[in-house]
Amino acid sequence: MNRRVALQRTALALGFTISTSTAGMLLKSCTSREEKNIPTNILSPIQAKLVDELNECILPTTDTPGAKTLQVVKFVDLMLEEVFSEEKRTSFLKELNAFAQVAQSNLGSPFYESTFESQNTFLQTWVNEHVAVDQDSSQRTFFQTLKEVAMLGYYASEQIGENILPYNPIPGNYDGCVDLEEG
Amino acid sequence: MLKQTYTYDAIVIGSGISGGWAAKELCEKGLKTLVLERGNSISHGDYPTAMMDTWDFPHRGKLTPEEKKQYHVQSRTGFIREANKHHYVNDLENPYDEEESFDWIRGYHTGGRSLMWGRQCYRWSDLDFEANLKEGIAVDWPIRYKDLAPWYDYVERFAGISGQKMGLDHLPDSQFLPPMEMNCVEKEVKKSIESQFKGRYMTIGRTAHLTQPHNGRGKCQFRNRCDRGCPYGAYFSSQSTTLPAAQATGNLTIRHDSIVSAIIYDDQNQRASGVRVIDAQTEEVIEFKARIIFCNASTLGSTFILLNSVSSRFPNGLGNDSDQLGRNLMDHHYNVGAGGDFNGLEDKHYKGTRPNGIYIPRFRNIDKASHRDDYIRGFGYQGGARRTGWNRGIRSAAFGAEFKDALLKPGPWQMYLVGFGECLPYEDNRVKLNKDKQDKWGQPVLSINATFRENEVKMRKDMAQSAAEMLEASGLKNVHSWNDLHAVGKCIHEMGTARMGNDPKTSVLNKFGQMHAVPNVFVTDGACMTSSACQNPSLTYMALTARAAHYAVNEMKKLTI
Repeated sequence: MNRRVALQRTALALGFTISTSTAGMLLKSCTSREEKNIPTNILSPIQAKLVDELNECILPTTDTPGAKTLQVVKFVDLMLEEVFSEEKRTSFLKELNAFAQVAQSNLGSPFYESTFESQNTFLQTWVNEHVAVDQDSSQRTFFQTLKEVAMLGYYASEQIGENILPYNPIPGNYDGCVDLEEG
Repeated sequence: MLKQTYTYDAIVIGSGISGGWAAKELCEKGLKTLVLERGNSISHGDYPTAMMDTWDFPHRGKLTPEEKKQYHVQSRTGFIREANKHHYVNDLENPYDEEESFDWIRGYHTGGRSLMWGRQCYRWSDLDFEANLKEGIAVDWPIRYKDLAPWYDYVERFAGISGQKMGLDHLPDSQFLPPMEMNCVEKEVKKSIESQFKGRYMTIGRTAHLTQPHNGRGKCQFRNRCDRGCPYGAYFSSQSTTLPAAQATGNLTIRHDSIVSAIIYDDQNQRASGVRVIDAQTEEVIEFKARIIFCNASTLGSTFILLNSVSSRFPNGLGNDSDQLGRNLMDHHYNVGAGGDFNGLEDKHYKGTRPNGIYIPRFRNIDKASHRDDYIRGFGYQGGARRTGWNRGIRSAAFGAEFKDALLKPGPWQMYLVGFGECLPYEDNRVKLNKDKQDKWGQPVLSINATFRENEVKMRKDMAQSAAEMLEASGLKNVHSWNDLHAVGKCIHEMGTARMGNDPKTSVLNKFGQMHAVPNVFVTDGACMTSSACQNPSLTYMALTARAAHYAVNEMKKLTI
């Protein structure tokens, strides 16, 4: 086991992580697919569209809002700009462009212009080939990085944290054993 | 450079856990006391991130590359994040040499690490205080449990320690506030362990958290955002607990930005006459005089000051006739344990985020039945059970609607046990001054050389195996153990380097933490420890400090110091 994982385990076990909790009420969402440029600092307008679509594939709109509605792409752009090392940012953008190319040659049109269904079908095939099987591929690093950042931008957002997940910033006391609905 | 002199009855160097206690006790006994804190001022309540939600942090907790550089040592732990980074030192401004990798995790501000500590509090016992003597290791502790027991009582009543009585001789009960509750899975695992393993017990963590209002401080709100500072004052920190009591006497002066470079030795009186301070902002050098000095600058902070306090009488550091100053650096070893999934109780959860886990007291080398041939001393476990959150999905390759919606619901239960093991005192686990290097204030830097050895390595195998064995016996699935030996310092329980002992030839301090050779200097932080036990040490620093302060005041009255 690598040191980072072991450390995370230790930190987790000692209770220092932010905990997410039970499912709360589900919100109906109404997303419109209107096209406009998303303001970004690192991603080009085309890269931003691509990441926006990829985010939505990972975290799609259901009866809860999806990544697009929450503009998770803006968070990805911010993380690229302010949190990624230059090396990590460069390799992320390189792999993003490589993904765009292979997607376009397979789909016959840019990924971000394809239907949600064909995007998903292609992404699943691509993931099966590069992410699920080959543990050390640069594609895997790219996808897992995007997925982790998108999930952080989504689940740790105000909209999800306050409205979908149970929000209780000052619990006041601790009950060690309650029914799921109360937790 | 201006050089002024100010006079007090007592000087306390450092405002952390032990310094805060020294200040409180000395002030309450009527001594005009100056507390010198090298860092900035953080008043109680001055906790800018305490009420912020995750999404209020632009990077949702992550550090930027610049911050990772600035905190390149501090970030070797898993604890520093966007929410608490301002409580950790800037490593670029506070260099030290690592002859062997050493993680020196520090907080330079009012309260020191009492603001970010883990808050677990366990008494030591004669199993710990007699171990060196019985096994012929290092030197004997100059105290026994009976010397410290009333002082444990004393500090616990004031600090507020929550926990459950167990009646174990080797982990004596504290003066407890009501215990926090175990969750459903922890209760199940406790039953399994205690029914299947003789001599192994599981209890709720004993922690310096108020489970009811106490001495004007509020009770824990179960937010688990402690290391940002607690606006309710619900856990023990110097600024929430000891410094206000010291302040209330009217006898306290606290001066920040005050880096103590040395304790000044007066050859004629054969006493320390005061301290030399560098103002961190103005770089002005100032001297403060006092009748007694409590050195509570943290294990390595105190030893640095003593090593840097040279005179014709003490060319190798103040009070260092024994050549023991700087030696026997210890830490606990951890990053070893086991975890697994608990199937069942899917319809159960917990309410509130408990800033505490469970504890399994030491069960090795306690008596004949628990004797081990492969190592001496022992370990305890901290840990706990929880339902996993959305981040359980990060590492998989899955994505899509089902994946996303499932992660909005609580995940399966997991339980972890993390071992905390005793480290023996080794003479050559040693810190020295490197005078060829200077920090930004022109001071030499510490050079640290410490490693864990064979006894620790052998103990760790048992720590991993026993954790896995208990979880498996409790019916957990996918039990996996890990054992990742780390640099000394990572457990942030550094101890030793100015040990207590009966003999001035082999120790720096006597049984009151009083310097054998300079009787008006006391060291009662981690530096004074003669062995490390396996329990979290801070509660013992509190008790040793309160005891030493009362002794010092009595000696002043008797005019021996």
